[in-house]
Amino acid sequence: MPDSISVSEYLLMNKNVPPILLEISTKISWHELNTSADSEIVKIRRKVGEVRSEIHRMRGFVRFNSINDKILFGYMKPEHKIGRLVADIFARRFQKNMIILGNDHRVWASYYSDNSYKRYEDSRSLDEIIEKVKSLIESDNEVDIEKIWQVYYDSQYIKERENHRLFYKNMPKKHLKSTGNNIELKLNTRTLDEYIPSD
Amino acid sequence: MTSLEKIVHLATQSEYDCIGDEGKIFENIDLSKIDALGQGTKHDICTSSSTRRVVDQNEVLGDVTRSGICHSFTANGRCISMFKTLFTNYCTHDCKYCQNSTDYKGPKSIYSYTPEELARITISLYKGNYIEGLFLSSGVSSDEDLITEKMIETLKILNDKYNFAGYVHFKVLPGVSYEYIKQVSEMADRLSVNIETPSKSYLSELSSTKNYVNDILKRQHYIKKLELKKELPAGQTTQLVIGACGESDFDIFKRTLKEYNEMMLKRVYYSVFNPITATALEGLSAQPTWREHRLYQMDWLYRVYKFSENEIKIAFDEDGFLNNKDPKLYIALNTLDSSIDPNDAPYDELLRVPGIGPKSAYRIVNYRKKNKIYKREQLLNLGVRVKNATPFLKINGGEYPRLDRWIECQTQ
Repeated sequence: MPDSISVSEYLLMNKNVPPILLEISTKISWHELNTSADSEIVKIRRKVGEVRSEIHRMRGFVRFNSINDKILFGYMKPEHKIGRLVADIFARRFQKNMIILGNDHRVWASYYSDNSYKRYEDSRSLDEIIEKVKSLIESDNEVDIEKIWQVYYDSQYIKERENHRLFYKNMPKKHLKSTGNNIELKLNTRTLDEYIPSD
Repeated sequence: MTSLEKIVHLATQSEYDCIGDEGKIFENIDLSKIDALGQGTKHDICTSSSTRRVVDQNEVLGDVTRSGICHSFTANGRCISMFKTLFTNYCTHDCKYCQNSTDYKGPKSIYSYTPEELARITISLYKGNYIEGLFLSSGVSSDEDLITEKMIETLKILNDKYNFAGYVHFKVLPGVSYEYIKQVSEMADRLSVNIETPSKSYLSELSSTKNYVNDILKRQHYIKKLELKKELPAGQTTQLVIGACGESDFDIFKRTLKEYNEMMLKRVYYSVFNPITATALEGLSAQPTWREHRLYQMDWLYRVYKFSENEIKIAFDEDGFLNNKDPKLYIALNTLDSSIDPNDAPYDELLRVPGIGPKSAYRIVNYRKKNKIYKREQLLNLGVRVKNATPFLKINGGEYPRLDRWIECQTQ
């Protein structure tokens, strides 16, 4: 997580910030935020925590498909205003690959190369943008490795240690929904209901 | 903002890190191989992806983070952050708990990756954001050096062909030559050799083909020597299987101390024994997962909280086992004689109070420079678990008599 981002910049990404907290946040350092017991600053700490935690979950749970190996696209509908930052984080991780993240109403694209970002945003849907991109490069060669992932994911399961409560604590439905990620849920429902024949 | 057309153009004109015919290779890949070689590592839990390495080059694929990232969780609630796999499940050791053992009586299919194939799967899963990197282990095959050579070739392909900069955890197989360990120490974030048991005699009960001192401790020592010359970004770790040979928690504790102090290990991991059908130990009963949990708490008290060996010893019963209670609470009840005033207790003492961890102790020390702590709400805001901490604290003159403290803590 880039700590060059200030407390108030993080706070601004929260979907719901009272102006008074925003004003206080411009005057405090990360150290003060982390050590204070002042009730207003504790509120800021929680709100910044919500944002950082959602960023962390998105970094973990977003999944990409790729077009022609160079354009990575995935579904993301975050609660807080973190779309652009998350797209940048992925763009940096996958240098010289185009990152497209989005949902039905919003798309964030980012591309990182030679220490600079190129960004694009759109209020059209992710599907529309992907269609557009495919027509631009005249290719729809999508690579989907979900099948390999499913087999690998299943192989890691240890029956004796089943613990669905811990699963949901670590992979809350809320975050799975905002990353459009339902493979894990589907697969675990199968282990839960193994007596019921699937159709 | 740049136009969509321009970014698409930039991204598609560079050939760099392309897998090329990626799609094709996955059409005829044998999924039962991915399953079998994945299953071979499911009990390996040392898969944190945090490392001190910093990726700052251009022209690489991927990065690493200080905190590590979990990309998924199994129905066991355990984090999956790596593509964790065996290179081959062909093994010539006879470890009694293992399904790849020569003693295994069940049906067996032998699988093996090729370095190129394994590298491609890793890159594809990585670009799909399913994983932080590769955790590569293996059966020893007919010869541990030969198979290690192939495992290293996989890392070379990842490095040279795909410019991969993600995380790599490499299992050093028992008995592998120094030269190979040296090579791999230059490419991996983390190296580990599984010690499996706390001592030589316990290992000989589980395996007749592995020598504790020669095959395992000596390799750990090689890694330590290499680390002294050049830092290994995520250090050396190891893992024990808990409860397969009747060892006590205290035996494990003693070995853990040696691993941290003499071998400079970063982490020791514990995995409770679960019997696998058709292995020599199929009749032995499974260990409760809480045993693992208590061992980790013991480990944390030593490594993170810096409790002394003698303090931790208090938590073991006379047979050398931890019971299913929080060891920190147990130690506190037996050692903290008088209540602690959060306004003047030193950091180390605060850390010994149940409900106060390193983060909240640090906050208290900083906060009290300018403020006086006189009510529980302040402690709550500093992140203290007030319910657990109150019986041990003196807050605004109020404190628990020792007997009340015992009674209060019975219910926790």
